[in-house]
Amino acid sequence: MSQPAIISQTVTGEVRIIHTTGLHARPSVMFTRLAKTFNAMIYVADNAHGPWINAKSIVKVMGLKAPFGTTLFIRSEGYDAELAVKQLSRLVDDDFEENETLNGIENDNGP
Amino acid sequence: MGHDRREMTGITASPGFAMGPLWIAGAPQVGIYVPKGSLQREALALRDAIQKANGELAELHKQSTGSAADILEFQSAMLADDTFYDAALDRIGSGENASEAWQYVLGKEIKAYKDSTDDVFHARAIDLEDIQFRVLRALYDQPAQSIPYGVIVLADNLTPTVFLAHDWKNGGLALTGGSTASHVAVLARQFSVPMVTNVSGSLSNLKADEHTLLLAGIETGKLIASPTAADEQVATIEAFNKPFPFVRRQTLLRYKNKPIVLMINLAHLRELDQLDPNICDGIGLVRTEFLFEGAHLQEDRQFQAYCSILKWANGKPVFIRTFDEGGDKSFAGFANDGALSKRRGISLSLERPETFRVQIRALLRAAAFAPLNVTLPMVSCEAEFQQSLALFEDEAQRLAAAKISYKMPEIGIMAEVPSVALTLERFGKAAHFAIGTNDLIQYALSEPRDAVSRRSGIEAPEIMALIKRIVAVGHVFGKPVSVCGDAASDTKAIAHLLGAGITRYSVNPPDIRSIANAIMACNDSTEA
Repeated sequence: MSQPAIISQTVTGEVRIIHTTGLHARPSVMFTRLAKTFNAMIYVADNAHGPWINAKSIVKVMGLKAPFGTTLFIRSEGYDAELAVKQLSRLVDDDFEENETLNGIENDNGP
Repeated sequence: MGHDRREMTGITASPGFAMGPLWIAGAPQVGIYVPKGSLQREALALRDAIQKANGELAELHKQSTGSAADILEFQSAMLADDTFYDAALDRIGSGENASEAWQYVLGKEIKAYKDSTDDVFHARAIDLEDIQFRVLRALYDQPAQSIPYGVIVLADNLTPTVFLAHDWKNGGLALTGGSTASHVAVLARQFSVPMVTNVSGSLSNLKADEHTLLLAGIETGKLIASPTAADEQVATIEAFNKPFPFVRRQTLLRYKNKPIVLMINLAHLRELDQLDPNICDGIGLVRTEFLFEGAHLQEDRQFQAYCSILKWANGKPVFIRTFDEGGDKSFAGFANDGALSKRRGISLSLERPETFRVQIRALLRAAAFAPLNVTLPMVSCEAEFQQSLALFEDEAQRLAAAKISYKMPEIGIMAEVPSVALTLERFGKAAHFAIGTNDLIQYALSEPRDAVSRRSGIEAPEIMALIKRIVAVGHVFGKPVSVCGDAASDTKAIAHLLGAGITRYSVNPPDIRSIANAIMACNDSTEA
């Protein structure tokens, strides 16, 4: 980015759920936990045209009942929207691997 | 008791078998709702109930590991989400009381999950019922439902937190509904609780407390009311022996070319009737505190019990652990005086030498019958070991004087108190070291004893360091080191233990097959 985004921009992304049991309990916990670390508003949908639900609400995210193979659409607005979409997509793409908490700690203490 | 044998079938969610009185779970009851008087008070009452419920979940979560922790974290996250509360507030605003509003909001959500055609999402409905009921219980100020010990639970379905609140030892779970994908099924597998779902058949004439056999076989699950002796025999043989390819065990159970010794833990003599000695390499741990059901002072009964264990083992090694009771592992049994002691294990035995001497005599006499190893529990310092040896010597002399035949057994110690693990070289006189992973983890990591599972704690670097130290000392002294805690029965922990150099394991009989498979898999991966 050439200059900090003052005016909120909308960032979008899409990622396919490769987790065999879909976006069920533990993946939903991990997804919403990560989403909550961002300031940006984040929405997800299982369809490009919505309806869009709050990605920080586990009740809503679980409520999607998105099975294996679903393409998840992510939309975010806010200064850290780009990072949010990137990291959330990566979490899904990495099949909700465990190391996300450790990485978080390392990032906080890192240079 | 006069009932006819009836057999119902279902789907095995967690293999094993259990026998006991049938306990039929009713629908959860919360009583009569007392209206709070105003919209604001209803809203506040609901908010408080949600907070209280979440506090309970957080408390449970702290004591859990593995799948149990994941499930509780999920429930807690659902409850902490204001989505349900906000929806309920809308309904309170339009005149419903807190109970009605909460039941409506959650009921709608539960139905949406039940309507899902995806097994995994369908199975989450029970988690929402769990959340719904926990909040209602807080709202109505009702205590949790409790299940008696050692029963076969029959229910339409069971919520994960009701499952986690119950001690399932010697019990089993039969559900008329449920699913093998449910959180309760995941937990049953984690804790080796026999569980059968989708039980169908002549359920309506089942009687509470009727003797029942739950057989969760590999192929089918069965619930047999008033089983015959033949049922019990067939069931146990099938559940324990058939699944394990013991004939090929010796050649298969190796790790990095070292043979692996796989023994069993024993807590009740009746378990032996159902087991083929060929499935194991001996008995690595006899939990004597469970063996006599309070008759701790009957020397002859103990002697006979030890002899029958040695007879069953037929030359294979037997390690009998002296009473490990007291402290945070208290139950009626040890001393007949009923006084509570904060001491635990060998420390309690030394505090109550009159009881300990009875056990020592029985062990000395049994050792004359066949070679016997004795393991002292919870040894925390050298003095306790020396004092115990002195008591064995003293009783040996008395038996000699009385011309009663005896033999001094090989005496080793449990390496489960961190202080001992750190100074194990002082215990060169001990014949063997048995690592009790539950206590080692509890005391080294300060985890609560009744945490539902400490199995995954084995991976903590502190614990692995202690275990490696014990292995190294055992190697220097040429003393066998075994693991006989729950970790040995945990397929995930096995890889870590093998890596640390543990070659001797003592596991719960129902787990012997899965552990053997896990060892084979680890060996496969090192050879690949």
